[in-house]
Amino acid sequence: MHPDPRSTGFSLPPMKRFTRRIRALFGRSKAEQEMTEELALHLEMLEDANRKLGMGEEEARRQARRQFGHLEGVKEELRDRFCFSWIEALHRDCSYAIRGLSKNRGFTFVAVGTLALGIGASSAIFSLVETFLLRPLPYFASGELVTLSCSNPGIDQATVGISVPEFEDLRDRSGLFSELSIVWPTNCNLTGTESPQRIEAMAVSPSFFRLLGANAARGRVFGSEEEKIPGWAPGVVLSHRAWVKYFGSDENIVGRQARFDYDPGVVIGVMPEGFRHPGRTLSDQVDMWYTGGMRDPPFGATPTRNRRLVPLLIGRLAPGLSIQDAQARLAVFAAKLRDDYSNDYPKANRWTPRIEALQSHLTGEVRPVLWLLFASVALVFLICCATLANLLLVRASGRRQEISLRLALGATRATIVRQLCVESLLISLCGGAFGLMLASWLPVCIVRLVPEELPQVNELAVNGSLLFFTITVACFTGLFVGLVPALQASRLDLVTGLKAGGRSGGSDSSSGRLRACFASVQVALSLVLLTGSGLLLKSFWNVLQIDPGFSAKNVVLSRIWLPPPVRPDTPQQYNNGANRIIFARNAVARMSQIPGVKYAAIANGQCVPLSGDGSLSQVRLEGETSPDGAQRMALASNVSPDYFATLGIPVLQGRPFTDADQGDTRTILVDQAAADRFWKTRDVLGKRIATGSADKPQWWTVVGVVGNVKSGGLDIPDSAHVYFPIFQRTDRGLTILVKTEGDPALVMGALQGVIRSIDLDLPIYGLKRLDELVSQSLAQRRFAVVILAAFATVSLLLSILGLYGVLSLSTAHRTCELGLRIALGAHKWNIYRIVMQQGLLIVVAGVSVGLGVTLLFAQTLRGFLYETKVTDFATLSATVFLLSGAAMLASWLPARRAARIDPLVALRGE
Amino acid sequence: METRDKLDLLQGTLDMLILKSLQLQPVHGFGISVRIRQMSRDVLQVEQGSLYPALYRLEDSGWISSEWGVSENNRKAKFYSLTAAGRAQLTNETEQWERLSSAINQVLHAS
Repeated sequence: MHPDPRSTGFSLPPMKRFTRRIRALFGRSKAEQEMTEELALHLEMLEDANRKLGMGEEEARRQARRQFGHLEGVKEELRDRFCFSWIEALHRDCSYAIRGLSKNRGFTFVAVGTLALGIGASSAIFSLVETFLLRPLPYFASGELVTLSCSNPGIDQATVGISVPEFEDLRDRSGLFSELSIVWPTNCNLTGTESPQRIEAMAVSPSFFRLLGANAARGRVFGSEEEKIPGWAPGVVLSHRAWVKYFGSDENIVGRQARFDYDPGVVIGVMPEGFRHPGRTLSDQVDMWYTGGMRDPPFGATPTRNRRLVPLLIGRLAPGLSIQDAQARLAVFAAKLRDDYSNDYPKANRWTPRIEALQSHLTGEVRPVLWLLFASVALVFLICCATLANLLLVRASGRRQEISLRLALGATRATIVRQLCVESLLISLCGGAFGLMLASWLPVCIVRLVPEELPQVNELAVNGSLLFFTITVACFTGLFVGLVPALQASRLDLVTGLKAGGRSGGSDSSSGRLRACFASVQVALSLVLLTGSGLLLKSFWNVLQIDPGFSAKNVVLSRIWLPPPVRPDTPQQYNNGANRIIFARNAVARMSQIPGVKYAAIANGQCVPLSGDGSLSQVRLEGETSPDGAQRMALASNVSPDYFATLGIPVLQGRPFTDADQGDTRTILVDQAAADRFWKTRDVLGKRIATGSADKPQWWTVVGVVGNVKSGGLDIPDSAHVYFPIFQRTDRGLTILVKTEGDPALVMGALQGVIRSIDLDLPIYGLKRLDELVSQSLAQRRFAVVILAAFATVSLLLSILGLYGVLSLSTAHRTCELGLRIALGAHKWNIYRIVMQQGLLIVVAGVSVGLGVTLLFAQTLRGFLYETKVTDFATLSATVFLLSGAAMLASWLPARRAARIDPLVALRGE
Repeated sequence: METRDKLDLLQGTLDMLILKSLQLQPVHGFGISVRIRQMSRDVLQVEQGSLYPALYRLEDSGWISSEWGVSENNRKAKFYSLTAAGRAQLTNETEQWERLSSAINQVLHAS
């Protein structure tokens, strides 16, 4: 009706009002004082006026006050004008909460501790997940980086190499990549420094560093000069670690010369300290990158399409191309290549190139474990939240008198809820702070257990996103977990609340129901975790029971590489096959003579159990005319006579190799799996296998059958395995295996000396005990079991404590009632029954919900299990029994206490 | 809660009266209530409890300003005075009130 004066004319902009309030915030007392003075003066003048009208002193004052109105109310309203009332209220709530919490040390300690555990564990796992899975790789525009590999799914060959013409077609003619590089992990002998070393080398294309967007810290990286060189360029780039370790941080490193597998090379650059090669290497970080034009050995001056040597390519997709689009277009391009060059791509092979994002390629094996961790820690966190909720409910129920009083004095429900929420927020922020400390050192410990070399390990640190995550989680926990108890606590019947018995007694049922609910939730979640860890444990046990087919006791292995220099002017000693054989014989003979050595053997190919890469060789069986492409695949190793004795592999039929197996005899041994798969009869001695090309086969005769050995890993099924005598085919990469009488540590030192005595320039590397290798192969499984079991134990403890707390409190509240029952003649067992029935109800509810959730999500665990059904009955029933048993124990203690109630004391009141 | 609704209706009117009472010279709070009573010949008695909130509000809006001074009986008192903007606002509001009240009068005296 009447226009608001504030909306017309010249009113102060809101800013001025705001600043007045801010100023008043700091000059608080002054403003307050002035206001009081002003109002007091007004009152005085009213008094004076009244006195003039003839009233007495007392009367005048009383009338003045009545005329003025509600003084305090006016003051309140005025105060609203010059301060932020909500800041005041918050400040008040905070200091009240702090006082309250420091008085109840026990409660605060448990609450903060629980949250620290929950938030800390969650933040730790988040840190891991964020660093390895979510954060982009530390290379320029890493979202565009992909790997490309090829396979022949038609003949079960998971990885097949890539030839130079294929590489060049993909790079230049497919239109999919802006840059493409080969990536070929090798290792080589480094000589020309203090002592010969075995280093990790990576063959790449000249565009490799440009592709990654990486530059050298010293010198330069590969560029256009290297593109013109047909063979391997003499210039190499070192990693920072190699520069420090092998070249002693030489300041004049650029231009320094050394020999790599006897070939002279010169260092042209050193990469910065944090730079790591994006990919798997043979065993360790890359020490040296080298490149070339791929027109010389080992590729040949005119490389053929069939000579597929390069294992992997790394590329940067053309701008704007997504991975799905690229894969689709790649499939089309591959079909075209297969048609154009049908001689080189037999139809049965179904040659397929495949693109994968570099990030998922690198984290492929760690990814499932990390997500499992994430899921488990989420469950633990929920349990911690439920614990906190219960604790808050308990605390709130103990303050019922106080809350009722405040409500009666005029506090609104919102005020009470706000105060309780501030309290829970304080607890959770405290818990979050401690949790952050936990989260800063826990990931580092976990990473040490994870058996993968990842390029982002350096980046694991307390950083902004971790802080943000922790604070957010803490705040949300405080607010949401605190909300339910707060809402429940503020909904009070004032009359009963204010009564003397307001601390305990009667109408606690809704609070009690809520607490029982939370306890059930805890039980359910613990069941899920316990079942998960039970299943993993069972799998682990199954895997441990697998017979690996060999004995790792007291066996030491080590590797040697007989280098092939490429240049014609460098010594060619080991290029000659005969020289290699002589070396091998020499080595075995001298090693057998080391005191303490029982057996010594030398081998190559797929000869080290549990660490084979699964690459298969083609063989043909006698009498089998195979149509184009359908060849038999088998693992192949070349071994010396004592190999089987060294590893404890039993000879099931025929005989092992002897020194007589050389020259033209061409004898081989096969394992039982090969015998079963290739010939299906028992009688395989004397059968023949051919290797080599179809028109010029080399025939080998089977003279013995040996037991199966787990070549890839304990949980990988057996492939056919064929053993050739090493003294007929000796390759360059050799493995030395030595079985000692006693502790192998004594012999390990002597091995290098023995090899040096044959050839001064040959380093041995990868010296380790075979049982360490076995243990490492189980490392990832063991890690998952340990972590999950730890989480499950923690959750079990928390839920048992929660259950105990709920029942204790409810029993305490029912002291009167129970005392009455006892006085009226109830037997002890009746009391037990009453209390434990409550516990039983909670447990049954929790277990049923937990079972439901487990069965629902059980399938996600399938990838981790070995020969264990996801709904394994034994494990499920064991966990249910375990949980129920512990829960019954937790409810027995309060029951015992209840049964001991002295009825007289109870009835008199507390 | 009801008192607040009532105040909302009368708030604008009270503001106008306060501005008017400050037209001639600066006055303190008690003095303003006395003046309004005087000017209205004892008809309008300002509820003391709503006076000061109105004064603070008017000062926030910038139509009056305040200053500490000495009252007639030598006590420290806060004196309020009209600002230029306040004077203009007073003129505006007076015009609007005249228009409104004559319109209402016409409605009430129509047949």
